[in-house]
Amino acid sequence: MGQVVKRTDQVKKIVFACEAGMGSSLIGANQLKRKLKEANLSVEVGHAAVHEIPKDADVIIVHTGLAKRAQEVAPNAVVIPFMTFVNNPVYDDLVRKLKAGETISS
Amino acid sequence: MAALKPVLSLEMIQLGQRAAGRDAATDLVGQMLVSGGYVQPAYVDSMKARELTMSTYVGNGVAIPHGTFGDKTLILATGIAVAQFPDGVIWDGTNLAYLVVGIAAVREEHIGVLASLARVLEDEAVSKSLWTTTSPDYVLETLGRSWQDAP
Repeated sequence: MGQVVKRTDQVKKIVFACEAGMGSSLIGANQLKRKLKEANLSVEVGHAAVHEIPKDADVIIVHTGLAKRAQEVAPNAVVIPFMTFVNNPVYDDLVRKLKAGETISS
Repeated sequence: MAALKPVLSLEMIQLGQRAAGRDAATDLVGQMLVSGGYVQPAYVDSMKARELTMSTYVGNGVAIPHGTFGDKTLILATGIAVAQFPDGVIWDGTNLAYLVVGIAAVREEHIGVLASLARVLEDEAVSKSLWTTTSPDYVLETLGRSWQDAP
């Protein structure tokens, strides 16, 4: 990984993925939605099972153990892996980069 | 087919429980889903197996065990079972779960409850209130009642 890079204006859809798509990804998507809203950023946030990640996802947030699979399913998306839901630093980092107009990469 | 079935109801909330560990706690919420007619018994094994690949501990004393993608066929209806363990259950490493929310979801009927749960998780005080409350009604009000086939 590390090859997919997107500009902030290319990020229209963020997908939170987990193995089954029925629990963890929904919690994560909701947490991220709130942080984006607080930052006045309007980016679509969805959730999915890693096998069913939509093709038009620009950024995928997924547990480290599923990152490789996610990149295979959506080769054109930036995959951001995380280790734990608890105090997940990924949200704040992503929101900050989007807000600042920085590039985002896998 | 089946009549409208609530995703979360008072019958699916058990407070003041005790469990020796994560598997026992998962068994408890799993059996609630079985008795409630939401899943086939084998789904409980899927829930336990799922924890081995990635813990479902989501912070502030809450874990959300659920089955794997491949075992969705064992789900009969979307439902959520909530069990409270006031003494805590060691979930992974040093994380203790006080509220265990078992999930079986076919489609998206449970989005409302999980959205409420996500909000609860961001508030330590509200999360902690769920660890110790003795009122099932409070849990139901806090997490919300959504319905199968809701518009």
